[in-house]
Amino acid sequence: MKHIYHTLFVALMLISGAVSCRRQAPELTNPNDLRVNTESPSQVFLAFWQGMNNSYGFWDIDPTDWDAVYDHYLPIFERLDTELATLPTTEERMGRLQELYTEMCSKLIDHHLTLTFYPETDSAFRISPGMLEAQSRDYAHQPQVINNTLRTVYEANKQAGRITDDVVGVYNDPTGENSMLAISYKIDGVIYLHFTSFSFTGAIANDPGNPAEQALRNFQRLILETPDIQGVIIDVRDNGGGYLSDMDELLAYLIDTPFQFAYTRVKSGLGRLDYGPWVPAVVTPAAQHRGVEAPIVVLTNLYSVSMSELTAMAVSALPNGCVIGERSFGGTGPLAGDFTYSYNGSVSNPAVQIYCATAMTKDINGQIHEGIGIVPDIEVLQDAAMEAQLANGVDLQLERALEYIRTGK
Amino acid sequence: MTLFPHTAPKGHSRQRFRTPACKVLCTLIGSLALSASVPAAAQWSVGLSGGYARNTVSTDREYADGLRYEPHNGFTVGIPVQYDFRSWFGLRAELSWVQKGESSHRTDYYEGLYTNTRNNYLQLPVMAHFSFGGERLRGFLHAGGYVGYWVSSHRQGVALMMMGADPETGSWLYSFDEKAPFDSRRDNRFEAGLAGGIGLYYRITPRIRIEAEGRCYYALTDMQKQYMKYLIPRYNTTFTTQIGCIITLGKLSK
Repeated sequence: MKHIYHTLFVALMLISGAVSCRRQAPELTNPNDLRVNTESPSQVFLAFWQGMNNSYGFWDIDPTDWDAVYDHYLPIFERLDTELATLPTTEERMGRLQELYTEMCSKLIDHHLTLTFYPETDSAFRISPGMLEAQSRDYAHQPQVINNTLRTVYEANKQAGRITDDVVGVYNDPTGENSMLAISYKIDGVIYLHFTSFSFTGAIANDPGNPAEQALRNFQRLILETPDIQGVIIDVRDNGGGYLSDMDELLAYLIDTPFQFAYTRVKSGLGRLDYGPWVPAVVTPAAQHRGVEAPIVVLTNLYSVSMSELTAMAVSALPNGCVIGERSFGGTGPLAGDFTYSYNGSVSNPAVQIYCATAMTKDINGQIHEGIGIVPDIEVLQDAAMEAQLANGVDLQLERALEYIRTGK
Repeated sequence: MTLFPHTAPKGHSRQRFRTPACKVLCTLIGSLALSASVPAAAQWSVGLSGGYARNTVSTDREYADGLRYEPHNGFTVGIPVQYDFRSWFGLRAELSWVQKGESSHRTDYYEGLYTNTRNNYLQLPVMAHFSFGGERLRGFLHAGGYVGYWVSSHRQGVALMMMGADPETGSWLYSFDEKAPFDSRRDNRFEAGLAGGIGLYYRITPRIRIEAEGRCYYALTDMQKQYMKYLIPRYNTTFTTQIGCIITLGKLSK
């Protein structure tokens, strides 16, 4: 019996020792609630690093070794706690910090990602790794060239008698948030829509019947009423994206059955690789709709971002869809606008504002386009020759789309 | 010396990740070695057991205030093999299939979103078996460790559709029921920990006994590899209530 008590005693000691082997959880603070001493570069770095560590939604596919960033840069920022003050001007001090942050973030794949450091100060600086990557591509060019020459092209084609049923509308939102230009018409009998952002939902909510909405309604009317549609062109060049619900004003008019074009996935926990299921992204026909069987073309360029790319992705999933132009920006993840939805995405505190996507997207074939962009079916680069032609009112990408609709090639 | 003590995760130690698992393995191997060295005065027995398993994943939701974790209910079946050295002491090994897992759900604005995850483990507990009491009805205690392998994972629940709605219902809720993929960078499919139980058995015949047991599997290995700094650990703790039938093999000892 004495042996049993001995054995039990030893067993209990072993068990209590082993039970304490479980590691404890770290203490994490919601990155939106962090109180940071912005005078300390290392504290600002830690606030940024921690925010990204738990809130960034792309660790699954991101090539950046975030632990290595911590190990490499924390000592540098700790030295800067004392050394930064030796630099003579604020400009130089901020320049040094910007240089370090740009270097460490250069490979981050989320192309929505825009970082604003020291956002509450006059010396705030901004880094957009996606923009830096896009502008380093061999076909890179200036943004807004298409939008700036849109009227020139429109007027030249109008004068040449190629355009009918045209409506041009500009909506100026007093807040600036939903300001947009939209233009719709038929060119050579093909229905065409260009708009500078996916802001229809916001613009219509703010000011029903506004000029941009009229251009949209004209496009929808042409879809519903044109007896024999030859083709449709949705031009999202230089379009930075906007409301997800704008899909219901566009593609929803061109289909007669619901179709799935992609999947989205959000984080399911605070771990870098904690993800929920892939959830279908679906377009459902609008109340008034028409199953367009003629070719549907999306025109894209380097600065087609976000909803522009999702529209291109959706059209690609249609049997009669085609993408023409340039490989797009590569920011395909939607933004939920609510951090608590999946406890990831955009973050804001006195050290840094992190603007980023909430979800990852993959297309219907399982391909993730984040950081890469939508590769067009027919590539037409916006090179110097094309830009020179734009100034003369000739849009070679548009002409190529019309040729494709005419010939099927 | 730690350069940045203020940044070290709470409870961080220099121990390697697998150290607790290694301890358990060493204990198991030691027990087996010990059993081999004891003169065989007794008996092999084998059987079948099964029952209900309730698993809790010990983790910390940190600042995810609107997220709740709940225990997961499942089943277990096993094939116990026991070698008795004395009438009151033996060694039990039991190849078992145990359904673990967890349920998580959202509260407040996102109430209605949930995920039930079922994780299937094949595991081998090796435990000392101490029994006490009369001839026919005896109580017993089990104490030891186990090793396991995370064989598969399945999840079912409701998520939110970010783009579009269900064409049939117009709802933004999406029901899923799918095999959950493993991520070799994150998932630690090896599990080891402590196993212990308490129960009763009733001898129907000299060879056959029926037993009922409440058992606990307490994992000492994280379900995740140490793949990131500030990792929030996740440990399984499983309580089972099971019944079994054990048949004594060979010549019966007095």
